[in-house]
Amino acid sequence: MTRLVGTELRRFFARRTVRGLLAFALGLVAFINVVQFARAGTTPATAPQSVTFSNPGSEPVSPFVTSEPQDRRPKVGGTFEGTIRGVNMALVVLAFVAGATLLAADYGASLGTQLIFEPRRVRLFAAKWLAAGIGAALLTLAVLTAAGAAQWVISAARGSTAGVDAAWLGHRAVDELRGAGACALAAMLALAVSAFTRRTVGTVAALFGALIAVRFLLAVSWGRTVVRLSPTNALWGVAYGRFESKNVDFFGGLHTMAGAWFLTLVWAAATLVAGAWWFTRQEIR
Amino acid sequence: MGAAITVEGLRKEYSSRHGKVVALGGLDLTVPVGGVFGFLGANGAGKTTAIRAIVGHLRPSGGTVSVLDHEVPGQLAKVIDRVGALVEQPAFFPSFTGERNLELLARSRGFPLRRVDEVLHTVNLSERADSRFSTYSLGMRQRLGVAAVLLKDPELLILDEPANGLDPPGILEMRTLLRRLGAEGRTVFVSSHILSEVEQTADRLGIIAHGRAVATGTVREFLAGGVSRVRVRVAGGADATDAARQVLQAAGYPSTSAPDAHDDPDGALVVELAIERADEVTRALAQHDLWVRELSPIERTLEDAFLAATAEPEAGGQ
Ligand SMILES: Nc1ncnc2c1ncn2[C@@H]1O[C@H](COP(=O)(O)OP(=O)(O)O)[C@@H](O)[C@H]1O
Ligand SMILES: [Mg+2]
Repeated sequence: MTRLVGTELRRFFARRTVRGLLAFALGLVAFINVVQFARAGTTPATAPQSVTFSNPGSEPVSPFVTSEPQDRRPKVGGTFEGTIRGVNMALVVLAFVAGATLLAADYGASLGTQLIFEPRRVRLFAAKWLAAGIGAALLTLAVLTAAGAAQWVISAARGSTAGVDAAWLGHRAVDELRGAGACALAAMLALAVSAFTRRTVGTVAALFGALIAVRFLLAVSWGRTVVRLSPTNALWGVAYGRFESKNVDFFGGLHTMAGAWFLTLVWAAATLVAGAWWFTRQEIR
Repeated sequence: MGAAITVEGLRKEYSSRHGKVVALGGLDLTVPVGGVFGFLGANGAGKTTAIRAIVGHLRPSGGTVSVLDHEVPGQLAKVIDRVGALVEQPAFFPSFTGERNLELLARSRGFPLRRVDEVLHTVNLSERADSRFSTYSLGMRQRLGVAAVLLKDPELLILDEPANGLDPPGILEMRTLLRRLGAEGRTVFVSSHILSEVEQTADRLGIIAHGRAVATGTVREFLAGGVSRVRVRVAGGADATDAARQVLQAAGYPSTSAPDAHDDPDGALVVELAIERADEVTRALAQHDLWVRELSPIERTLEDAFLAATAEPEAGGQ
């Protein structure tokens, strides 16, 4: 089984879609940091004392907006938590696509040959499912760490690295792990769903369908319960890491991290079982 | 050890827009261990469907399949390392190179990676091993498919029309390869709709038509048409020929005038007898002062055999 998972991980990382998504994510991170760096360079710095991040316990800010309009200098100590949050939302979607493609793109491609080497379909399916999760988690950690490193570099060069200490590193590591977990679950969900759709676009359409449905369901009274229990909702909660939102009750009443994790894991397990069952019944070309 | 492949009463119905298509209507097939077994049938006869059932890719509507004495699909995993199969179109990931495709397969079962280079060499694909599969010609795809089959160094090879898309030199190489594999003591189960292809590679034949096996046997038996026959010509014209026929019939050798006798002023006889026993004919005739001028085995072409087998009304009840 280890060998099979290892093989599927290699397959995952050899996929052009996965490599493309990684390049895209790293490109995005680089772009944001270059923009921040350039803006910091053209805007004269305000007084250094105002730069120090006065209350680290306060609400973190989005990576795209610096804390004070007057001060555009990068300060990784204050902004990186928000960066993780923002980048993670994008990464969850990318992980979903990557997980879907690992299985979906192989229908009509090499799946038939793979089954002649490993006819135990539940094993093969489970190996792919695990590989999608592990692969997505590793990619997420790489992208988030790269984002942190880049912010640290530009902060050190043009801003301030105040607030970066062992405790801070520990907290951000936990944030990154949460993000990696969210992306792993997204990839696993997508892979399991792909057993039914057999196509990457089908799986991605299912995701967007669910997201749109959530929007509409929030408007009706009984819909809130559905939304609260929906996999996308729980997954978003895990990825975002917080449940308060300014505009709407987006999470349909889901408001604890533990609840979000629990729901996501239940959904992951349920789709794993359903997908594996369906996979064993399928006729493969 | 029993048969390499045993198929009993295999049924498969596909439901399509136009109703049910019976691809296999109770196929029975026994492939003995060793040698090349040609699985011959016209397009749409059900060869691919049968092969997909044998390797566990589809769920039959009925019947049983076993491979190397293990029931499919339940116990297939136990023998899968001894079985290589190429089903219809070679199935590989298009944006991976040929080498990468094989490497992933080898890794999944822990086969040594040097096998990848070896088999690529065997099928003459080393030069293009680094090209993406999507850039391969039909023939190259077929070769990669065969390379994947060889990766396991299998004792049973199941090949669905492996000559598809190959050019004449490629076909010749494939034929040589299949014969070599068969001669090495492996069992090669190869399907084809091209008679001459099978005739030149196979030791045994199974003919499938409309989802049922209509005939099986050695190629030699097919060529003899089940009965061995010799053509006998005696000196002395039509009278001598008539006399010879009476002598042979009296001696217990069923004899008839050759159907093409009218082309031949002297006439000839067709005697149902193996060529190995031809001396009995010459002795019987000589005892009656009839002298043999020609004595030759009658060869049936495989095409005759195939047409005869597939033209026969379907045997057995529904
Ligand atoms: N997936 C399918 N759906 C419907 N009919 C099919 C399918 N696959 C094969 N068939 C039909 O089953 C019959 C046997 O096909 P096949 O096994 O591919 O024949 P062969 O390989 O001997 O050419 C044909 O009539 C074919 O049209
Ligand atoms: Mg076919």
